[in-house]
Amino acid sequence: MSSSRKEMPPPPQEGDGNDFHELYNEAKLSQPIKKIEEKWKLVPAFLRLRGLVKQHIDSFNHFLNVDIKQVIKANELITSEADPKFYMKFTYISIEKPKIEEDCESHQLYPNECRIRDLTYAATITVDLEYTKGDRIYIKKGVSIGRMPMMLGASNCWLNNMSNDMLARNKECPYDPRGYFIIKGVEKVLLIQEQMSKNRIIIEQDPKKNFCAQVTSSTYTTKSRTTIVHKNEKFYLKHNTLAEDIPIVVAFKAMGMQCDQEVAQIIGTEPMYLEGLALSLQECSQLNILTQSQALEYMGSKVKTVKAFGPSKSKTPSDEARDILRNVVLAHIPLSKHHMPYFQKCRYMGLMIRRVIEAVNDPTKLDDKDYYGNKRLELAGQLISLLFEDLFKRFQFDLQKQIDSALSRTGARRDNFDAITCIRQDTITSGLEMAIASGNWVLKRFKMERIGVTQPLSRLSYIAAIGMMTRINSQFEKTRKISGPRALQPSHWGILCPADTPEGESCGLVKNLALTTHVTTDCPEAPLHRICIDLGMEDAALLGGDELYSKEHVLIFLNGQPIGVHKQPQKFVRNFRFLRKRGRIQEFVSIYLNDQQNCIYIASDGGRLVRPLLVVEKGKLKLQQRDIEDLSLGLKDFNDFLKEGLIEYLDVNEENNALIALNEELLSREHTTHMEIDPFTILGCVAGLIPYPHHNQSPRNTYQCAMGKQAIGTCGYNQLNRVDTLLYLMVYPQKPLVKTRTIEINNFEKLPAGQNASVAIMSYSGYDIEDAVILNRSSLDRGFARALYVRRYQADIKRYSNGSADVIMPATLPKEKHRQGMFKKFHALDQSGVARVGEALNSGDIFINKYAPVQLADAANQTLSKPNHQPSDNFEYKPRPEAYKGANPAYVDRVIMTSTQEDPFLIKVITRQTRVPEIGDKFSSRHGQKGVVGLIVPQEDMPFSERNGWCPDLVMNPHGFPSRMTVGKMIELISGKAGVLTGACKYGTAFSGDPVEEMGKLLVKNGYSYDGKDVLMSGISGEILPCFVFSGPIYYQRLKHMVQDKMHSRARGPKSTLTRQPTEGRSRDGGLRLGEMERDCLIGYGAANLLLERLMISSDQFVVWVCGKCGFIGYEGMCSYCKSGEQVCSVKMPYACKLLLQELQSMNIRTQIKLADV
Amino acid sequence: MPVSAYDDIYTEKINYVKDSKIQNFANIAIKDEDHTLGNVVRMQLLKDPQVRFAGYRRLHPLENIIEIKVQTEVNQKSPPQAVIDACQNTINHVTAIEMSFRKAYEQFEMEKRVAQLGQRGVTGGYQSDMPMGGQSHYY
Repeated sequence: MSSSRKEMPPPPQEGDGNDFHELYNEAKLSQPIKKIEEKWKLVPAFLRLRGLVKQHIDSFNHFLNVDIKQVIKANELITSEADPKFYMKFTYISIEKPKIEEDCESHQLYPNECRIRDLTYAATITVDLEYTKGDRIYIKKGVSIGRMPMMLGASNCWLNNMSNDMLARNKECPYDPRGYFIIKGVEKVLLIQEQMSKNRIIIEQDPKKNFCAQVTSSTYTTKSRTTIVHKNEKFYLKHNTLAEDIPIVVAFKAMGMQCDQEVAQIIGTEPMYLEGLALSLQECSQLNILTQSQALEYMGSKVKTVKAFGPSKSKTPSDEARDILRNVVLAHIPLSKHHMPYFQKCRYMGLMIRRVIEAVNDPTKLDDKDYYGNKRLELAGQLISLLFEDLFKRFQFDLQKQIDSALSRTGARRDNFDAITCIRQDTITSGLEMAIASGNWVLKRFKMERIGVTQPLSRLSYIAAIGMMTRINSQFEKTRKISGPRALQPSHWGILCPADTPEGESCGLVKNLALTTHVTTDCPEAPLHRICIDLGMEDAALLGGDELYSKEHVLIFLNGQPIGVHKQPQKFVRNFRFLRKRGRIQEFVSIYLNDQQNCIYIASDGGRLVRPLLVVEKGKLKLQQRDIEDLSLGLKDFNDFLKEGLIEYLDVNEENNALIALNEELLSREHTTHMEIDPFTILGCVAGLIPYPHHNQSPRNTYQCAMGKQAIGTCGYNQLNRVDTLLYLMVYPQKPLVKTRTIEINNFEKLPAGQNASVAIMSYSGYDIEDAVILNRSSLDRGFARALYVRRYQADIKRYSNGSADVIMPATLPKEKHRQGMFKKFHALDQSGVARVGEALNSGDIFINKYAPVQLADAANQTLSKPNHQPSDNFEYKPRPEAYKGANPAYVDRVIMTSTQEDPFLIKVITRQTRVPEIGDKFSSRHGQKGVVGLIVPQEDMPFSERNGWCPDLVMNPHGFPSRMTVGKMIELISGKAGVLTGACKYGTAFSGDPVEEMGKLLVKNGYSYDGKDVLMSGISGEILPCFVFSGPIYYQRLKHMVQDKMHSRARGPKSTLTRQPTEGRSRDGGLRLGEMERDCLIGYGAANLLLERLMISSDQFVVWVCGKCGFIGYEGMCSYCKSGEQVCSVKMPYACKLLLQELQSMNIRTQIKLADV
Repeated sequence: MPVSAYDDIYTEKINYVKDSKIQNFANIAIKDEDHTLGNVVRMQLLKDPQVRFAGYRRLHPLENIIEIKVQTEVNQKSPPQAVIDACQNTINHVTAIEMSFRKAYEQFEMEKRVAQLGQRGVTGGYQSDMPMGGQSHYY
């Protein structure tokens, strides 16, 4: 914003003498600007206000409180074709708090009950209705039309504003991120979806390298994409509904701009634009299209003929063309009520052409599709709003159909007909539930079909859950091998985490929000338009093309639509921002001046990314040290700073108008407009766990982001009350010795995942090659990295339509003593037929002794003859027990018996295993350095320090360092060691953190070596190790991959029924496949017999009898085709081969086997 | 019950295998022992001038078996005898250390008591029983 300075009222020189002296005191100028201490405290203050997942909750709240009312308003009326007097109007909609009605009694429904009982956390949607019954108008309030799944933490959720005490009483964790849904007991997250901006012109090149301008229009009723292509020096209108590209001048004429001069003027009369347009004008006149009706006719002939269902009133082609122009092409541009209804659309098209011409003459003016200012994020609110509107329309359609059929009757039934009785609640309820449960967003109206929108919330660790809430999914196909959308962009700075992205196919397409990013929600446009006019904007409605694009003034856009012009852009922008700082305009509304295009863009739409920045004026921060002190004392909060104009939100586009200093040293008097709150906020909350990430090679940080989500730790304060299918918990988690600001902010200290291991970085034994680590057995005995493995099994007791039901029964033990050993598998069961809490379950033990009814043929007849009477006598029961599988025993931790909405009886059994690390289990530090346990050594053989008895928990091989360059890990070790010696946690915050030099000095002060290397003794020989060993504490994570869940071997085992080949996979006790490449090796080596053995003898060898005469397969010694057994021989072949032959035969393909002697 | 791969080869607590090729060379495998014994015995053996070569190894970190290999000089004592001597020497060593430690400890206790008595006589106060005035370093 350099030029805005020029308009600053009194330049310093013109001030009075004192002021001048004050400002130009040389001694004062050369002083370094004072640093504001603990500026980072603004980040937790910001997050207290906005929260880590505030974007989800804000978006959903916006839907609940604003958007849903607009949806209703847009679809408020139902009329009937059967009765013209009938109408039903939806006047008001509201959503209650989640409740459930059971046994004719309604009670408050809390999230944990939903998790336990497999219920949906949803609230009733009620509407106020106005409708006719007979001749009267009735008003009915609070009519339920369905249930809305409720986002946890939303304004209508019970947990909103709940005290920690109350949260604990309701078995909720105060640190839970919330922002997800609970559908049938499963926590589901609606991932943030990244999309191109709607209603904006994007200039790009199509695959044929033609320049084109593209606009995706999106309104409540329509979504369409309009393109203007520059092909062979001419312009064409391209649209889905048009079979052919329409010459642009024809389109203009069809919209009522019959005069070529008018067309030229609306685009611009400068020579560049006129020349660009000349051929297009010529083409139109060559087509001999001169009037609007000719143009409409021409367009109508090019319309794609879609067989539309419903009442097909045969329209004339020109009517169809008119319809398309009116409703589909550039649908977001409103029609005016004046003599020229399409004027605004014409002007917008003119603008598009202008931009294309500019881009043709100067390809640098092409828009960058990957630039993040051109992207919008779609959150839960928008997605649910789309879905709800669709379902509400379907609901109304069903309702209308029923009303129609009721009203088309005659007599008293018609007169007494009450339309309210037709309201069906399950359209909306099950529609929403199904979509969120499956993640399939199918909206036929918009031809939208998206899968994988929702995902079950990962509760592996707290960080995994948070990481999922900040994840952004891109709409790009994963298979395409393009690097553009995957690359890290400068415009991602401060908005997206540069480290947190998965490896592999979705690398760079799945992103994560940075720490202080906020996603906006829609904000009404009308007041902004009003403010623009008050600030001196000339309304665009009064202006023609020449005036609009004049160099004298700038064009002002509001959410992509040109609304007016202004002569003093700098002043306009400054005043607008001033009003925003004063709170007259919502803080998230952005305005920026594009000097190149000579435009001002104002954006208030939802899905933009904004971040807070410190405001700088005249080279000085407006924020003062005392403000931070006030913040620490709790006298002020983030909102106060916002109101005082010390802090401002900028979106990606507005950042282009700002010069943002990284720190105080970089502040310049002239140009700086903003300063970063703290550089570490460019990282997300997962990458923020890494200490000293700025010392690591960048991919290592990315690897850690993936691994941090697999670390076993704590998943919430309510973890022991949770009923997840699988939960890994650490027995003695520790908070890290070397922490970061992010760790403090995202509560990782409260819910940690890892332990501070004493590490010696040295070679030991040779069982530490290839990243393997050596563990100390005594450390394991003391509980190092010990984990709990909690698993849920469940069985529902179903009722069947014939009156029978599943039963659970206690074990029926035989009376004979000697036979009781055979019934050992029942030992865990109690009198109810479910395992007792605390029992050990070994492989094969039954923990839910369930029996299912088998309908016998005669029993079925009986029930048919006398339905619903004495059901249980007529059925025979077959055992359908739930039995425990697994090599190691588990203990029954909890048993829950409850009911769902469908099933009257649901049993959940939760088992627990304690897992001590063993050889092959996976560990990782916080620097992308993973390794498996190679050896567990008794402590007496471990190296130790003779000086204080220190002995490592873990030995890591130093060969892991040189190629990986994870210097951060080494610094973590030194800082951790210094922290232990001084009794305080040290900071490894990105770009700041405690410096190594100081940490080294602390080591020296405490009598240790400066570089962290110490003298160790060999535990084997008792002699001093001939080198210094780099040793100290490093935070280690135990990852969820454990040998016990993966080990597998098979000698003989099950075969699949169809092919008779061994089964596949560990869960089916499958064989290990000798694959194609292995087969190739054996062929190359010539090991024919080994091949034969592996592929046939040990797999699916089968003896068939083949007739030598006809070549068909016969029976033993007999050919049923030749009716003789003369030449029938036995042949060994794979069963799969025999299967193929028979399958071919069944398709009438004759396959013969010719026999010969070898 | 875990099965060891060496169960068939080494059936006894101590297994003695004479080397058929090299004279005065023996391989002694001891079950359920580790570096604690192996390292000490090896060190003792190496002090014996009649021993030409001595070494030990743990066959596998998951197997608690050590092998001691000994070669003695020609026409001197046999390898098993060398090992027996080494063990005896070790025992003597340890006993000697124990004796001198006990003696030193008794003397230390005695001095402490005398000092305490003396101090109490003068000040009547309580004295910390930390040795060397509470110095925290182990050296």
